[in-house]
Amino acid sequence: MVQLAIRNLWQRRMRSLLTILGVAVGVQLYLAMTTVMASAESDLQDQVNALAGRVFIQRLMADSSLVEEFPSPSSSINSQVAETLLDIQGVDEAKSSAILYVPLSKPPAPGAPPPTRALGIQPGHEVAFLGPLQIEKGQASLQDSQSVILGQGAAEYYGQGDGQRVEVGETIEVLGQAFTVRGILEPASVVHEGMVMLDLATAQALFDRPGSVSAVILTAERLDDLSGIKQEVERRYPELTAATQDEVEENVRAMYASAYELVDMVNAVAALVVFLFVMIVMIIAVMERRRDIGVLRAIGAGRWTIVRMIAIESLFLSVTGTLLAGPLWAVIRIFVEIGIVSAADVILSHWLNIGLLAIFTGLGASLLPAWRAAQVDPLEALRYE
Amino acid sequence: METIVSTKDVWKIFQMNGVSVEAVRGIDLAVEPGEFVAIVGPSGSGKSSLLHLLGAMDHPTKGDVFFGEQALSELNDGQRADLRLRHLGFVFQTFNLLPTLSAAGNVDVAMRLAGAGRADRKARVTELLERVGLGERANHLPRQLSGGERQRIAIARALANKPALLLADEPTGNLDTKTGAGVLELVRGLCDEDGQTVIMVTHDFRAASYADRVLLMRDGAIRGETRLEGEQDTRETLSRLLTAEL
Repeated sequence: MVQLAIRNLWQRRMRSLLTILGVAVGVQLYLAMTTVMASAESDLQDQVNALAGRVFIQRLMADSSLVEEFPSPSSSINSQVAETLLDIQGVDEAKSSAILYVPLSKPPAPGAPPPTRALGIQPGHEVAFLGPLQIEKGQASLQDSQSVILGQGAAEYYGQGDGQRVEVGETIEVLGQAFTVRGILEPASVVHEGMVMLDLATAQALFDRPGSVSAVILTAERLDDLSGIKQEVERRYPELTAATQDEVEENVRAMYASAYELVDMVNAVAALVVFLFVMIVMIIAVMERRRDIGVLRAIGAGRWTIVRMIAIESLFLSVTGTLLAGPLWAVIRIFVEIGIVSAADVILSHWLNIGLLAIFTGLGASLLPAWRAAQVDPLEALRYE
Repeated sequence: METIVSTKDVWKIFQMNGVSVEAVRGIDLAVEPGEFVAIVGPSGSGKSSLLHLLGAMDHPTKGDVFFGEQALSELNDGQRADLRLRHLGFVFQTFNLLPTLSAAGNVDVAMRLAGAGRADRKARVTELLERVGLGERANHLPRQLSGGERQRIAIARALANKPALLLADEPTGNLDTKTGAGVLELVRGLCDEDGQTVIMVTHDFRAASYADRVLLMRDGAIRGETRLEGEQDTRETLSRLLTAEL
C-alpha cells in the first residue's frame, strides 16, 4: 500500500507540494517560537548562574511588581544606607558595590528590558555586577569618571549602524556628555548586553540622583555566610528586599511566565492549523478517489488496508513538510535577519519534539478521512450510469 | 457434484423512497467447477444484483449464498473481503483499473493485498500479462491503453490470486464488437485451457453464446435455462430460449 499511497500523492503533485509547504510553514512557526523561548531560557539560566554567592538588595516602591527585572529602575536606596550594608560582617567588600541603574532607551515590549541602560558602579568594584563575565576587548575596570564599559548590544547601539559598533578608545555621548570606551564585554545575557557601565558618582550627577542608588550587590566571602548576610539586611532594614540567586531566578521566571504561555498558545495554534490543513486535504483526496477505493474494496482490500493507505499518505505529507521546515528556515534567514536565534539554536530535543508532532499530526489528521474511506461501499462507489 | 457457488431461495429487495423493489426474487442456482455460465437479461432484470450477491459484495434480503459449503451470511465484513481477495475475481464493465498504477501494477496490487512475496508476484504478473497478450504493455498506464487492452488487464488482475470463480459484469459493454469478441475468446480460453469457472452477466446474446450454460433472467427471476452444445446450434438454441420465455 506504500507504493499506491505514494503514487496517489504523485498524481496530485501540485496539491501534495502545497500541502507539504503549508506543513513546513506551520512547523517553522512552531520551531521559531520554541527556539526563541529556549534561547531566552538559556540566557536566563546564564544570568542566574552568574548570580551565585551574592545578595541583591533593592527598595521596591509600593506599586512595583514582583516580577520587575533586576535591577529595578523604580528602586531607590539612600547612599548612606548602602554604605552600612557594605559593612555587614561576611561581605567581601572588594566584590560588592552600590549600583545606580537608569534605562537609556525604551523597552521594545512591555516587561522586556530596555536595549541600553546605564549602570553606575563604584570603580574597582566592577566585578560585583559583572561576576564571572570576561572582557572581550580593552579593560574590565573604569579608568576614570569619564570612562565606560559597554555590553555588546550597547556597543552596537552607539555604533555607526549596519552592525558596526564602537571600539575601545572611541567616544560615545550619554545625555550630552562624552565618555571614552575602555572595555567591551564578551557576549552575555540580556541584562549585560545593553549595559553602559560608568562611575557611580558620575552617574548620580548625570541622572540627577544625588545621594541615591538603585540597589546594592553584596558578595559573600564564603557561601555559608550568604543566608546570614541576607537575614542581617532584613533585620536592619525591613523595608528593603534582599534576594539571593534562587529568589532572583524565581522572580525572573515569573516574569517570563506570560511569555511562555504566549509561546505555548502560538505553538498550539500552529500545530492545530497544520493538523486541520492536512485533514482537509486528505478528506478531499478520499472524496476524489471514492471510486478507486471502491475498486480496492471490491477486489478484496479490507477496511484496515484502506485506513493504512490513507494514514501513509497523511504521514508522508506531514513528515515531509516537517523535514522541509529546517531548510526553509535557513533560506528565509538569508532574506530576513533574525537576530535573536540562529539555526544552530535548534537543538536535538526540539527536533525530536517536532518529529513527534509530525507523526502525531500525520496520523491524527488521517483518522477522520481514513474512517470515511474505510466506510466506502464498493457497490456504491462502482455504480455507474 | 461439488458446486463452486450456489444460492438457496435468495432475494434482494431494495427500498427506494418507500417503495420495495424486488431486484432478485427467490433464485436457486448452482454453478459447477469449470462451468462458463452466462446470465442474460435486459436492463433492470436483476442480473447485476444477482452477480453482486454471488460475489459477496452485497447481502441478500432473504435466503443465502454459498461458496462451496460456506454460507456467506456467516461471514463478517473482513472475511467477505478476504473471500473476494483470495477466491473470487471481478471484471467490470468500466474496467475499473487504478489510474495511478501501470498495467503491471494493477495486476500486482491484488497479489500485494493477498500478501504474496515479491518474486512470486513478479513471475505471476509476467505470466498473466503474456496470457492476455499484453506482455509488452506492462509499464503503460491505463490512460495509455485502449478499451480492449484495459479489459484484458482487468481480467489479468482478476486472475492474479488464482480465484476459484471469475465474475464478469457486462465485460464487453463498453467495447466494440470486434474487441468484445476478442475479450470473450480470452475468457472462453480460460475455461477450456485452465478450467476456470466463470459467471458472466450480459444483455448481449452474442456474448452469451460463448458460455456453456445460459440463464435467462427477467424481473428478478430465472425464466429459462439452456446448455449450449456447440457453435452450430447456439443461435438456434438461444432463439428457442428467448421464444419459449416470451
